[in-house]
Amino acid sequence: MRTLLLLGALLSGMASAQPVPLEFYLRGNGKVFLSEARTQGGVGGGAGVRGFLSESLLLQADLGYLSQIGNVAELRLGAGWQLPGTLWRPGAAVILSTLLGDRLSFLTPHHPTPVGTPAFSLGLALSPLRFTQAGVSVSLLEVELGLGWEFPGLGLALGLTLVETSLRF
Amino acid sequence: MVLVGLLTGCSQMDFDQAPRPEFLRTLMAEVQPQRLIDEVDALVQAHQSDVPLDCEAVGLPDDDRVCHHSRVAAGQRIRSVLESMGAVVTVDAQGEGAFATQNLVVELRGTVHPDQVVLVGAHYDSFYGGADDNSSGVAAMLELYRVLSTRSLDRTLRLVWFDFEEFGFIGSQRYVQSLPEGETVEVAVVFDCVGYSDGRPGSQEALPGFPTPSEGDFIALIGNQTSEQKTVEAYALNTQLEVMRAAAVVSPGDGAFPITGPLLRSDHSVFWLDGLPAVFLTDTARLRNPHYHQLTDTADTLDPVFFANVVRLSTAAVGHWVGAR
Repeated sequence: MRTLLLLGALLSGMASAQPVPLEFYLRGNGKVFLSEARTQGGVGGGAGVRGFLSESLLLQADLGYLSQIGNVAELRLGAGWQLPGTLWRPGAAVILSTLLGDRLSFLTPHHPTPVGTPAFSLGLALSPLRFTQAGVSVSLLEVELGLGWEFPGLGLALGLTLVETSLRF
Repeated sequence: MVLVGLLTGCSQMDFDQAPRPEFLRTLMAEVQPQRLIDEVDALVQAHQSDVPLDCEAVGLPDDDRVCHHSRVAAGQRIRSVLESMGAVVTVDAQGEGAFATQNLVVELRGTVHPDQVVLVGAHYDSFYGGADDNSSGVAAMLELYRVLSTRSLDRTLRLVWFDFEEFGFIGSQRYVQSLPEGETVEVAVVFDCVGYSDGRPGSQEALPGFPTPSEGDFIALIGNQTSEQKTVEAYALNTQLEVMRAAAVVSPGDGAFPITGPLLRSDHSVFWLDGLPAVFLTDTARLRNPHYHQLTDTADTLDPVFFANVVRLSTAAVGHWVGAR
């Protein structure tokens, strides 16, 4: 939440120099982080804010809740690009993602105790089916693929946003 | 404490007393593999000679497996073996009708903290002969009793052979619901299918989301949030004592989530859902053993070395937790 407020303040500051269109969005998604030490994630949804630095460049942040393997909070920060000017506006974004909360833990020689840190990952999200009309956007089947780290070891982050709807102000 | 642990390489353990590796190795050396296999053989014969459940009379479907469920003769066998070792067996009889349960209970009273209980459990009802499921768990407990009954224990060790697990953990549920007031269950250790191993690549099935070795030659140590520390300790002991290949998993919360649901499939789940710490030991049953719930689940399909190592590891862990001397 704090990150969302910070991003909002940042975008507001930019808006004072020149107007920055903002979008607020809701999403329904699934996300899983897989490593030899944990499986974390689930299905759920969240809300976020997206600011457009130009017709096609954007910054975004969202916060979500996932269940199925306990209770998990998902925080994502992203920067990306969207095809400008048309009804069909596919896009791509670099996403820094964090999962906090419950997890399935696996004990290994490298991780003889359950990992206690959030699952961080850096990846790419693709929005091939995003459509915009009159300030309203709908995006279907966004996919996200990321690489995370376990200190030691790596993890794989897989995400799928079934639907995202956004409203531009 | 943490710094000392890091410096001594024992940071994974947070025991209230440090483990005594040499003593625990002595305990493990007392486990007799042949006794385990012989006992499983005797239990399988008991099941096979028993009068099976009259499934029609109790309204269960006329299913070949269900109609080959037995428990009475195995219960008599357990009592007989325990009494031959001088144990006093208490029958925890509850319920009425076709699903009246008789849990069998033996206790070795602690001398320092008698109100702190380390509970070990396994179900003794089976389909068909039930060598792996769960005569292996029953025999493991009998051997555990034989080894630890010669020792002085700081805490109370209670062994409970649960009735009617196969129809929904009936015996263990009734037992946990009637636990005596004023005592603390430090940990429950539950055995279910602990004797089958297959080292061939591809012999082990995996559940979605669980990184699992391809070879079915490991013992699974399964805990939840409440039993996380004990699961970590068991895993660390196995590493320290170099007993066997082990895979340990800790489920969040009480374990009752969609993805973790398959981890709830034995009597330990009753403890988890009641907020009590329990560690579940299993060879993963149907995910590895093609004889699971089949007529072919016989003693000759078990791996004596694997089975004995599971019992050695359990003896060390329980011996440590109970403060054996």
